[in-house]
Amino acid sequence: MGQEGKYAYAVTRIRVLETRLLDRGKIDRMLDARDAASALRVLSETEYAEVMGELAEGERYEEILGAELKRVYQVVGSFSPDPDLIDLLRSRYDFQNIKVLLKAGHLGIDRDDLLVALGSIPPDRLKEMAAGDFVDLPPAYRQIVAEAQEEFKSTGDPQLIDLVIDRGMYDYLYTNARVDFLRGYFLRLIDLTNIKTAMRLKRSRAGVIRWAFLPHGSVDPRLLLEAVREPWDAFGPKFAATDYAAVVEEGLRQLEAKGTLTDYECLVDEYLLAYLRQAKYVAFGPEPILAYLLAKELEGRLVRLIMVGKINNLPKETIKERLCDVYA
Amino acid sequence: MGLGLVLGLLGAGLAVFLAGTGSAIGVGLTGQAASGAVSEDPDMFAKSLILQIIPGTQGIYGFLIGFLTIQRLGFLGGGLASISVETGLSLLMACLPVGIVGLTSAIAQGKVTATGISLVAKRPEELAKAMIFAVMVEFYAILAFLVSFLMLQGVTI
Repeated sequence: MGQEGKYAYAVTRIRVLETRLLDRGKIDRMLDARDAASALRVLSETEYAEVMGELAEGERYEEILGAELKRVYQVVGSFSPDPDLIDLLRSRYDFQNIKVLLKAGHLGIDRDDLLVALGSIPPDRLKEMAAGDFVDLPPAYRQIVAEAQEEFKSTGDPQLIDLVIDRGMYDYLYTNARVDFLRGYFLRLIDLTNIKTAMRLKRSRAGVIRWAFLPHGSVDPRLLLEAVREPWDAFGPKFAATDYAAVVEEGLRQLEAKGTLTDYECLVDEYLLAYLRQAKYVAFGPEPILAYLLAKELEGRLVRLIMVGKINNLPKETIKERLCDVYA
Repeated sequence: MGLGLVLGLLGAGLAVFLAGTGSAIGVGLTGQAASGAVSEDPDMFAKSLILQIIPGTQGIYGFLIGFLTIQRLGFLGGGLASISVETGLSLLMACLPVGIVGLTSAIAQGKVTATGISLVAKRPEELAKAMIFAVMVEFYAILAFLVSFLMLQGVTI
C-alpha cells in the first residue's frame, strides 16, 4: 500500500489540473490575436482567469505570470506528499533572488522589481538577510553565497556572482533531488546548459574560465573544453555519442543560419518536455507532480514569448518560430 | 461443539475476513484517488463512484461464501450440525479460494480503478474503458468464488 496510498490522491488531482494546462489550440489562438490585449483575453478564458482580475492590460503579463505560478505552487504545495521536493524546486527562485540582491548590493542600486515571490524564503525576509550580509541564510545556501562574495571581492567582476551561484545551485539541486526522475531532469538540464555555454564561449572567443561549466554533468568537461578549442566543424561530432546529438546538431544548424542561440534554447525545452512526458505513465509516484510544476513553468515561458511578440507587433510567424511544444 | 465445527467456522471467518480486507483496501485507495479528482472537479463524483464500487465485489463474494458455510453448519436455526474433523477441514478448504484470491485481486483491482479515475479525469468519455480494465481483474475473483461455491456444495454434511 505504501507508494499507492501516499500518491493516489495527489496524482489524480494533478491529472485534473493537467487538463487545464494551455493546449495547442489556446496557444494558436493567442498567436492569432490582433494585439496584446486580445491575446490576454484568450488567456482570461483559461485557469489564468483566477489571478488576472485587475491585471487585464497587455503590459502587465509579467505580473500575471508571476501570480499564476505562485498560485500553482501554493495549490500543489498544499497537497503534495513530498514538500521537500517542492521546496527544492522553489529554491531555484531563492538563488535567483540572491543573485539579484548580491549584484544590486555591490552596485549600490535598488532592483527589488526583479525579485520573485516564488522561493521558499519570501523576498522581504531575504532582503533583511541581505542587509545582514546573509548570515541568517540556511547553511547550504550560506556556503554558496560566501563563495560568490569571496570570488567577487578578489576579482571585482559581478559576472562571477552569477557563475558561482549557478554552479552552487545546480550542485545543491542535483545532490538534493532524491527522486531519480528529478535528478535525471537536472542532469539533462546541466548537460544541455554546459553545451550551450560551450557554444557561447566558442562564439564569443572569450577565454574559458574555470567556473564556466556546471558540475555533475554526464558530458565530460574535457570534451566540452575540446569542443570550445577546436573548429566549429568538430563541435557537433563531439557530442554524437551522447543523448543530445540531435539537439546539438539542429541547434548548430540554426546558430549558423540565424546567429542566435534562441533556437537551441527552444530545442532544449522540447527535449526536456519529452523527458517530463514520461511522468504521464507513472500512476503512483512524485513524478507527475514534479512534471506538472515544471510544465507549468515552461507554459509561462511560452506565454511570455507570445506577449513580448504581440507587444512589439511582431508577425505571427516570427513568434511561432520561437515557440516550443506544450506538455498537455 | 466439536473440532469439525470450529474448523468450519474458521473457514467462514477467513472467507469474510480476507476478501473483506482486500475490498476495504481497494475501495479505500480508489476513494483517495476519487477525492483528488473531485476536489478539483466536482462533476467527477458520479464517475468516480462507479469505479470505486468495483473493488468492493470481492468482499461480497467472501461474505456470500461465509454466509453459506455458516448456514450449512446450522448456525442459522435448525440446530448445530454434528460434523467430523475431515468435514470441517473440507469446509475450511472450500473457503480459502475466495478468501485468498479475494484479498489479492481486490488490492490489485483497487490500483486499477484508482488509476482509472486518473484516466477519466483526463478523458471523461472513456469511463467504459477504465471499467473494462478493472473487470479484467474481476474475472479471477469470480473464478475463485465459483470454485469455493462448488467445493462448498460438494461437501456433504
